[in-house]
Amino acid sequence: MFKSRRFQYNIPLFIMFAPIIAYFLIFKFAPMGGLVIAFKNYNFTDGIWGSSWVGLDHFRTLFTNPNMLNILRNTLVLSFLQLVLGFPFPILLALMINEIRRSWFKKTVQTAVFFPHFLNWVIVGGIVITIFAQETGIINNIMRWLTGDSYPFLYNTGSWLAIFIGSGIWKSAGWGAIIYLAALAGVDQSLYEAAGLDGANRLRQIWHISLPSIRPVIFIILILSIGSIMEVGFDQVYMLQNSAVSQIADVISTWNYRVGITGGRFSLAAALGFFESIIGLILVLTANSIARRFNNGLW
Amino acid sequence: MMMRESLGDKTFGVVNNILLILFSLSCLLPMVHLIALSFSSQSAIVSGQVGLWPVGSTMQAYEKLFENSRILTAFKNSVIITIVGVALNLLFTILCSFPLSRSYMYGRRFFTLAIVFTMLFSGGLIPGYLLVKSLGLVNTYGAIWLPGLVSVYNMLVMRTFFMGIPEELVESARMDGGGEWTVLFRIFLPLSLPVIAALGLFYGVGHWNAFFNMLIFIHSPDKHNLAVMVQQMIMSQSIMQEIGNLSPEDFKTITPESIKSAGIIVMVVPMLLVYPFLQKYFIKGMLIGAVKG
Amino acid sequence: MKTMRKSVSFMLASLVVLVTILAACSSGNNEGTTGGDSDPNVKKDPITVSMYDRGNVPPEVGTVDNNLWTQWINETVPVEYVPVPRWESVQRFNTLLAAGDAPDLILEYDNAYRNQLYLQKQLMPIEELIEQHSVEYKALLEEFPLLRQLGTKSDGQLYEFGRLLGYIPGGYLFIREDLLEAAGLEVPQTVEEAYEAMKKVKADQLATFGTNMSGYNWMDVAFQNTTWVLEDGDMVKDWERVAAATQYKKRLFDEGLIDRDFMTDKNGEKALQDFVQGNTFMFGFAGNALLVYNNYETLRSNVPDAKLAVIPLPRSEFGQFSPYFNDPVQMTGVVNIKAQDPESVMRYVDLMSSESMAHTLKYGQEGVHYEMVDGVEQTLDQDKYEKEVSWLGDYRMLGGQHIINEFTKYVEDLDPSDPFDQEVRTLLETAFNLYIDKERPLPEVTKYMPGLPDDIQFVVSNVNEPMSDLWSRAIVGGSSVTVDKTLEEAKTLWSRSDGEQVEQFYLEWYRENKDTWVFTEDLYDMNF
Repeated sequence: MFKSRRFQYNIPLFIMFAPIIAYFLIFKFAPMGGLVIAFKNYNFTDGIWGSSWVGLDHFRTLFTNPNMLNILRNTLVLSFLQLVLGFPFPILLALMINEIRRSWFKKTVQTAVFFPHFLNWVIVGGIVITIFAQETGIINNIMRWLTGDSYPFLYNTGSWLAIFIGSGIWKSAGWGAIIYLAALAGVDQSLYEAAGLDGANRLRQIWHISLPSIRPVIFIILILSIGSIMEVGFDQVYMLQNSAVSQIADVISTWNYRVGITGGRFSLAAALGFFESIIGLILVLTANSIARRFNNGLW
Repeated sequence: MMMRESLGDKTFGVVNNILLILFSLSCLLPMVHLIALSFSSQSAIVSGQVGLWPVGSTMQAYEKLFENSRILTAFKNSVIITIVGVALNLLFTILCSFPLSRSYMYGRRFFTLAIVFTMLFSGGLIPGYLLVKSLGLVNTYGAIWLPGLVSVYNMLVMRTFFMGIPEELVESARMDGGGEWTVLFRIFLPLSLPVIAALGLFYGVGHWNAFFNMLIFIHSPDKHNLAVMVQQMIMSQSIMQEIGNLSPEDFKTITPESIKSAGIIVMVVPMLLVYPFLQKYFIKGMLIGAVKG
Repeated sequence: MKTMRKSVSFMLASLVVLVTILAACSSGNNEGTTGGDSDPNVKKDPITVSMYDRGNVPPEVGTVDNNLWTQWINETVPVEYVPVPRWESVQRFNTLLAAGDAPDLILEYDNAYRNQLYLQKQLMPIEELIEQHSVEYKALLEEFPLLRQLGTKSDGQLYEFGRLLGYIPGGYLFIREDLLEAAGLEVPQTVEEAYEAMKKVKADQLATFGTNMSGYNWMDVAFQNTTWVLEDGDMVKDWERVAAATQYKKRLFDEGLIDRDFMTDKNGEKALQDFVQGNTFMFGFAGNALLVYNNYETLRSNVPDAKLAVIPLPRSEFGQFSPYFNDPVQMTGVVNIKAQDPESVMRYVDLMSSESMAHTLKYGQEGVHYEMVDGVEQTLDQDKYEKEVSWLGDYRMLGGQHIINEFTKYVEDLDPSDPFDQEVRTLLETAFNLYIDKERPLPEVTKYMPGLPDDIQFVVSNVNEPMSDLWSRAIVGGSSVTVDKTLEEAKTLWSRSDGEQVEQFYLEWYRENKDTWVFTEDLYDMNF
């Protein structure tokens, strides 16, 4: 067995992989010991190992909290919508940019759509609120001109959701498109030419050539996105939420900020984090087993 | 090669371009607004008069920003952290994703699962800090570079790219007597320039913008980067929300909006200058063609 | 293959366990105390003190932990400063505490955080320390007993150092005198009169908004909407006032007297913009004297006829109150229970609390940064001052800082020959006299609410925001949401969230502490 070709190939592979193993063990797995904080009453004096064990107490506190069900629901809803509605956009954007013929135009568009990613939500939130404000916002000014009435975009749950998702898409589309553009860069140009000669128009070329060639990348990003479904970004929600929509706009990260971290409740915050991780794991495993049916699983 | 374009294709091209122009404009507007703010007078800004064009044109914000010569050190630090960081990131990401992309690697499934596991589960800030401290990395850039050496997300993307490279190329390299190292360096890396450029960009922007880890792990203010400076400017303004726990000093150190905007612009501009250089790697067909030929 | 895989897995698993144990052990050692030396002949290690890092120390002067001042202080007491980011201080302190690296003296403005440290038993009592090793701070304690009262925790021991700031107004109610005149009105004395005045001003089209709802909300002060009030000698949860305040606000909203977008104006930025553009008739403002000046200046440049006056808050059925002013006495420092050399910590506190130190940190060194001219300090070189002295505010976190009151100093520094400066001076002085007055006290029972035990804090953290959201929705809800209905919902929400526990806590706490604690009426008549 040790003389097999497979073994021969694996030696250099493992030489490459050895520092990786060291890295993950030291920097990822070792600190995981800290997860026990979720099951203890952590305090500074006793440290991680000396603090007393309380088992599932913190989880009990979390789930008997009347707010928690609401917050979980909100997190899932917001996240799910962001995923379903937001996932196709970077792909779409990449495909569209890919179709640009003139190089300078292509580069300009690529750079322009890249900008919003750099603005943090303090700024983008401020801009969104200004645009959709009921009294003086641009959108409402137009609406008043058209229909004579204004609409409380930011205070009605439905429209708030749309704005929330929409602004998120706008901010990250250009950034997300980069990886798809990189994938499209590797597509063999002659395939397009051949298809063109066969009479396929550009739309069909996209459907039959561009899309399939980035299929593996799409799948993997989809799986990983599903895995992070519990993470609705704190900044985005915090900047856009207001009292009128708090029933749907309060999510795990904002709740944790209010109650967990600022209260010094490390163990509670850790328990919450642990719960999120478990859900993420289940989702990734599920997503992966579905993806495997299409031969695109992670493993 | 010139082809006669059908009407349908022409329409497609036009519609495509129009939509992209509209979208690009919407992305540019906030930036234009920020630039306008950075060139406006403070009183105009407080009055809410600044839209897309500066009001009360003044270079004061930028003057003040650069007067604070800390900005040059911070900039230098940002550059060092980013360049070294990206180099390390790419090196380790490649060393991780290449083996995992080989279907004949022993324990491939196990390792992949284990690594994905680390993406989902983490001990949190305190164990992380304790680890960094026990390695003696506190207040050094090692604390910034090492813990985040490999982003699992990025690594998996690169692995996917590697897995997409045709097996024949690997075989041909082997037939020429090359081992795995040759396959990696002679075949895979040249073919993967797009994804390396993309990931380099991801890692780079990550390092450039990182402030939280800097605040926690690095104490010496002269080791701080640009992102920390700008973040301090932004945070100094949000004090209204903490009214119970302020001191007179907090009111004195509020950064004027114009300087804050100038700071943000200064942070974003280098990224925008670097990006076009990387874009050429995303031009379609450039590479596969070369290899085939 | 399977066996190979299994053994690999087993190996890796044990490796993981091994490394985890190793990491934990070494960090466990580090979590312990740093070695202490009790041999008096050995040169003592410097003590460590935290210092806020705001990123505003010019690099040619050094860094916040290493500059001419830290070197000068070190000549008297060996000190090492630990920089802490101003806006992430809590996270930073937590990591330092977890690693056993926390400074000996922790200086932090956040009362709740210091209380947490107390609850987690990370603090050293300082009574003995002061008794035996202090001169300056001890004297201050005697002169200002509030320092002792406020620094004492629930177990009766003294834990916190503090500083004296003096009276510094922080909240103002401005009114546009020019609009009052144009509408032929008198200054409103009651909240009803205020409402009528706003209506008239709006009807006469003199201003877009009667007042601001976002930013600093003076109506909550006028209606004493502070959640906890005293009734029949007991500290109870208020329902009447919040309902009345909400009713008032609702009326303003329904009649278009306030900005309909107030809910999304998080920092009060938009409210301020409207005000400096001249669109607001009455304006509640929170800030320091310099901000008052700057904003008035901007208003003047936008609306040359605008004239501001500071007025007392209108009276409501619950009384007449005044807006926020800074804590005249503020607790800032606690001693780490693991401090090796508490004596030196005390010497440091004494050094920083002295009047001469306060003076130096404000003006700089005589002959270098300023000189005395007719008994008044005159800055020699403004640039040098900016570079070397202006940022020292956080070094003045201890002791007798009241000798240089930021507010009164600012007022004194205004130019007597400049008419605008004089106008601002009038505003500021009026505010000081109107608002720092026992007859129109602060609305809250006490500025210094007690630290809450963990479970009570949890209830409070959970219920506060949904509660305030509920009331906000009542304001904008139109005719379908009445204040009465909201009151019922609020009470239901409160009891569902275990609100009674919190009520019980405060009830008992007040009964036990009403003779020893510092309440609003104790804050006046302090001789600074």
